[in-house]
Amino acid sequence: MESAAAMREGDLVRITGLTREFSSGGGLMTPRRTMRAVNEVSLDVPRGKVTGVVGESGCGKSTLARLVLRLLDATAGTVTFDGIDLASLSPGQMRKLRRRMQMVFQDPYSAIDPRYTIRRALLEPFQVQGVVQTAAEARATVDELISMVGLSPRMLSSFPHQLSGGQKQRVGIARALALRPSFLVLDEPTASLDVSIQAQIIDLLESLKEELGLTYLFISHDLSLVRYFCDRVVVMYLGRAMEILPGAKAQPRHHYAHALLDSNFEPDPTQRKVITMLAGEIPSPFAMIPGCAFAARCPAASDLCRRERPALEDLGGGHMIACHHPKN
Amino acid sequence: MAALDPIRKAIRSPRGAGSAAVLVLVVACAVFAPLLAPYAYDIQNLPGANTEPGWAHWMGTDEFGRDLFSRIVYGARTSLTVAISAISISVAAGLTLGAMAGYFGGPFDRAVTAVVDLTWSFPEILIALILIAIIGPGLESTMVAISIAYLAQFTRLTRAQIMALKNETYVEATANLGAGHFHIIFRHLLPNALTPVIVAGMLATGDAIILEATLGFFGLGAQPPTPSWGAMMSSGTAQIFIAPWIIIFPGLAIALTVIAINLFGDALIEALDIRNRLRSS
Repeated sequence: MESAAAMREGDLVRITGLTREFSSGGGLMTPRRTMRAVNEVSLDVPRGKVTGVVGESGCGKSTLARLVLRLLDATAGTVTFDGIDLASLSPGQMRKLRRRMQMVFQDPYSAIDPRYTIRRALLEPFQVQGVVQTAAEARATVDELISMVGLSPRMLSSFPHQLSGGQKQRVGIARALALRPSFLVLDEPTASLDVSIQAQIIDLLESLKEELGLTYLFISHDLSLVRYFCDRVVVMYLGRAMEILPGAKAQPRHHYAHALLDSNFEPDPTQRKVITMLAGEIPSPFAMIPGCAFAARCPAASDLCRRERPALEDLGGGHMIACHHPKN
Repeated sequence: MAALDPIRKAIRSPRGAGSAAVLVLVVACAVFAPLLAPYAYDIQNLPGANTEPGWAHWMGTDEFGRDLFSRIVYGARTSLTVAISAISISVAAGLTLGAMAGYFGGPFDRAVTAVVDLTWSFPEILIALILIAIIGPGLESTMVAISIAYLAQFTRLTRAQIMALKNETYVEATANLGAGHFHIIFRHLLPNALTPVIVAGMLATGDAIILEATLGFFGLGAQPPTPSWGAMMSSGTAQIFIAPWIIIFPGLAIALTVIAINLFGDALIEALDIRNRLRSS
């Protein structure tokens, strides 16, 4: 066990061998089938930094987010927050700890109860946590929260349906910040917003991070956004971590990460590039693949890839890759 | 108040206004029966039996010479009390059972669904008759029988609502704040599921009045001399060729009340725009 001081310097969240299985069927007529949404993922989230998780839909990144916050229980593996193993906590202790770890959701349209005014939605975190406030304190808290995310206190008595998507997402962020957490999981916070609004939300998240000293785990399917916003990037494919990039500048060496990056359009017509399309299809998540999950679509796949699963290896400088034949 | 807005909107349509007026009249009869009824409901006057409707007795008298109008006014009290309390119990139990089954799922849900589907496959009247055969006739057992007969409907409706609502992001967001199941069910899911269930309950009150009258007609409901519209019609069958008013007026009272409830419920569904949600169960 490290000392408390070392922990303050190092990682806020540590994920080790995290696995989550879902099963379907198992009734009278259907055989039971099991899929691994998250497959032995290990990841450290350094304090005060933005760690990005990127991958296409269905790769298990949202499940990973829910496991990190223990909204789902892991099948195997551990998540520690500030040195505390989440699985060891009682429901009461977990409730207390939730003050320190919060989440911003993908869909701002349904993230607030339609019957709640914005004021009531912002006060709910305190109510749930049993924080007693006088009417004056409550008013001050709510005013502070709403102006922190750049909205006018006049909106407090509105209902969610009276707000735009961007405004709703700002309320979602304010609600997540109400209990003064140190760690935020951002589950595709901009995916359902207009592009012009996306930039505003990302700016807001960046300035809040500086102001409040937050640590982010940023989940997205947009590798270019993740590379812009994050200090470290984890590329996931079919529940597995394929590559961990130490910084925004690092060139990905995994064939899948390359394909992901290639699939982004270049807005500058003079810099036109050739898009290499991936052949093959994503294997069914129910298929238990013995080798590399990407082997079926990989241009460099060999027999070894199909037989043996590559382990995550350090290439130096925090750049990790799970590939038998990395690109140079 | 915002909660009254749909009612106001419902009253604005001609259908809603007319039915609301009839309902207000029936409820007034039930509440102010002693003030409105010109005679006591149980005073017999055998020489004046089977009197035709006239100035002294607006709706005539029955086979014991009791004033029919007074008995119908008091009968509104019996009918509404039984129907409203039975449906209230049924809605409350259905909301609880349906919410638990829909939210927690698993073996509890399967058990509740199995029992509910079983009772759903019988007509309500059959369930009520079986229950009364077990617990014996009377006003209280009518109430219990009606509330159990309609339980399946509200449980199914609530369960369907909750199952649709529990996947909303705000449920997960609230759980992430550290909220327990109790908070999520009572502060988020039930308030959002309530409207269609309440409206279904209102419509079922009309059916419950008919069911109460049916049980009364068979002599299984209110026992004499308590006036009940169904029992009054039943005693009218024997006099149908001598004094047809004995069966006609209670029948009209039942028909008017039930039609008014249905029309008002319909106007309310329109005002709330929830026809799809009611059908989904």
